[in-house]
Amino acid sequence: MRWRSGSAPAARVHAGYRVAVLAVTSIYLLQECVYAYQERHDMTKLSRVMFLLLCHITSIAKQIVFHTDADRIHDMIQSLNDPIYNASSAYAQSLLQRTARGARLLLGAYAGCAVLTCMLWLLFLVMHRIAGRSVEFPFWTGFHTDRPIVFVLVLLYSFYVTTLVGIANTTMDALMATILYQCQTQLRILRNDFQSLPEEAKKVSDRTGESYEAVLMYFLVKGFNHYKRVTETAKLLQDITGVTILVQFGIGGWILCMAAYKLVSLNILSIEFTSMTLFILCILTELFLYCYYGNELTVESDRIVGSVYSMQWVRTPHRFRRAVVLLMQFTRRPLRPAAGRVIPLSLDTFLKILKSSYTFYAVLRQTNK
Amino acid sequence: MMTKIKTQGLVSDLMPNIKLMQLAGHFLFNYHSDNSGMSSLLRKIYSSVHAIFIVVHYVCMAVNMAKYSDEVNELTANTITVLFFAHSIIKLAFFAITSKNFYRTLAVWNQSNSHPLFIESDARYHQLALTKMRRLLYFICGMTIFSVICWVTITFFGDSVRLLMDKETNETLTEPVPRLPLKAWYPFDAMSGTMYVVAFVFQIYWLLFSMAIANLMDVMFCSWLIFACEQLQHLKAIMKPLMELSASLDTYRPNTADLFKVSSSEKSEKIPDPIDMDIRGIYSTQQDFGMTLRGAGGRLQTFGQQNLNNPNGLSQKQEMLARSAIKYWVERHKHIVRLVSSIGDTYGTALLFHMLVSTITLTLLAYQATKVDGLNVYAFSTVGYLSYTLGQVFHFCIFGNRLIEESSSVMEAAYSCQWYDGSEEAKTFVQIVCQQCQKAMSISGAKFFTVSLDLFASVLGAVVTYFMVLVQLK
Repeated sequence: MRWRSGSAPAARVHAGYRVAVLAVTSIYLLQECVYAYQERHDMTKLSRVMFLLLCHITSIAKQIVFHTDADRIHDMIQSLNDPIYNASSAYAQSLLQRTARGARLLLGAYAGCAVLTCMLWLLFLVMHRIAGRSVEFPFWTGFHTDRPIVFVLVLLYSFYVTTLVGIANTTMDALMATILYQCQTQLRILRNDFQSLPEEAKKVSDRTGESYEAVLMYFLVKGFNHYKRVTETAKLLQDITGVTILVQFGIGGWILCMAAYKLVSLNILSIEFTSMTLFILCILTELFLYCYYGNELTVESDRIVGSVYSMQWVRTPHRFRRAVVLLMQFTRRPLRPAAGRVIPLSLDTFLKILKSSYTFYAVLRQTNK
Repeated sequence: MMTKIKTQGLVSDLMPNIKLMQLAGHFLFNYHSDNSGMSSLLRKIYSSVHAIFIVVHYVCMAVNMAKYSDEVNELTANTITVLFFAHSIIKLAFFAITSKNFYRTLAVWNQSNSHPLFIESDARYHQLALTKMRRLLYFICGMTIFSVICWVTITFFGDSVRLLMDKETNETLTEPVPRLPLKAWYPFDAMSGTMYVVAFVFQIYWLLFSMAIANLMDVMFCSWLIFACEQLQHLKAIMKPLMELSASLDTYRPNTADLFKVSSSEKSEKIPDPIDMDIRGIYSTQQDFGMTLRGAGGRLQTFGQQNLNNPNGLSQKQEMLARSAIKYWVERHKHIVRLVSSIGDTYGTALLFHMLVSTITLTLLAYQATKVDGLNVYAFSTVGYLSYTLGQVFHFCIFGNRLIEESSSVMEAAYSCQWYDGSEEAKTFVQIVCQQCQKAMSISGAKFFTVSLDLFASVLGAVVTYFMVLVQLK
């Protein structure tokens, strides 16, 4: 993402830093691929590298998208400051504040979990080495890591890259989930506006003296424009991130199965068990975030027709009622954010991924007994 | 302090169900006529004692399951029983935690609108709903008692043993256990004597009450759905007279007086004017034309307090009745939508838990069913568990499905009446209602799935698939 505030030299430095980070993660990924190829016959070592390798693939996919589509992402985030999204009614403000709080909490908890997992891995490796056992890093290094200096350097490099990838992954996910959450909040505000539309119009019409019908039509058109903007934002998000979420879903099941395979071979009271459990939790949360917020958006947009119906339209002028019919017709199709336009983000998808990952795991255990 | 609480709406309809739930030990403390401090404390103690008994015995069963988990068959059988009664614990806890939602849903129908011309139809469908709700309650209570009797009867057949795995030789040994309906760990020896009788009686009580707790809550949910469906039937039934009423406002039609006829058993001052009937008698040849002409064509000259703009000579009162009929219909429909969304909010999560536990239970039962080798106690108990679990799922799936069908058929009712004869207001009303009714009202299990017969079919299909695959693998 671009560095927008500050001077031009700062922006250049930041651009250079972004390229460097992408290069470092790509090199690390290549090292892991080489190691995986070398150890392709040993299931235990392979599973140790595979789940992290797959995680890094999804992270790099997201980073590439954020690089190439940086402008569009920036515009999308800026568009959230639009007045149409920041209604001044008390209900709208309280909902927006609640959304902001929830988003902050989500980001903090999620990124914190990722950092904790990486630190636990680091701790485990250090303790393993202190106990005198030789440590094999899950990526190709090309030289021996037994000497303390070399060990520490490689360890720090490994810790830096994994933490970087962890934070990058979680923050990007949290951003996309928050935008979905914001769209849902906007639809809730819209529904509330529709439900009390005739009463509000009557109040405004009494106050300003304009004709009741004109005010009704004005509010209806305003509501419809709000709906169109939310649809556009959701569609833009889907365009930008569709492929990455598809990659995420496709690989997510695989990651879970590899991690679970590794998990059952560990002792319950070891640090590695805790860190693996945390890792599995992170992956599950990542998948669940998309599916949950996508589902919430679909459910909320489904309820719009009901809200329009529940306004007091029985005694309104004829022209307004005709417009209400058309409005209900246009808002009838629920927003269904989809990954790669094929797989809908819903709780159903989440359950399907869990089921298929369990199937992979069971098959893996059977074939490797 | 004795305050007589007048029950209305859904509470008075569901009073037998509520009383039974209070008897079974649910934490339902509203809707009593006597609310003094002493009796409410007694009721709380009653519910808590039941809850403690049920939870403690459930924990004993779980301990038994954990203790004898070496042998696969024993473990599977114990797991199935533990999961089977998990429903009761979950529902008891769920009601205690979310009782506010239940009270809110029961109070949704406390104030409902009414229209003099549609009171009779409303009462008729209300009575239908009441009959169906009672019948459902009796059926489920009967089935619960029948299940308990069957369970106790089957205890006396077959060997009362426990399977153990001998670690050295890997053989399966049998160890005798007390002949009780449920296998549980007791701190005392229940093999014979007074402790055996005590344990037996306690287990009968426990079986009856835990099954009642789970089933009565499901019955309440299905009763709400029955009520909503019958209200939708009422709305469908009055659509035709509604259209005719609205048509009578600006189109000539014969027999207008019939529309305003109220049932003679109802007290109402809105009786049709006698002059209408005279005119109908004189100008009966208008019917032969079969034409309804707008405006001046065929208009009857009427005098006196009749409304000159109205082709049918309706009085002011009748015109008001006709105009307010649409408002009544729309408000009643919105009320039903509010009721259904309240039902979904209240019971959705309970349905999710139910389906989760039932899925695991049915998977294990499919495995158990592959080991049936004859017409013995094992076969009967497996079939019994299977049919009970599937029956529970079917119970709420069928009513959820009925709601979906009823709510989407409102549109057909709107189409099949003579909407083209209606006034402009009626036509836009039909348009807006059709837009709303294109999406059927459904109950969702916390947004994960929709409660319909599709769900039941997929569950049944999954069980059959597992069974077939496992039989092949043997």
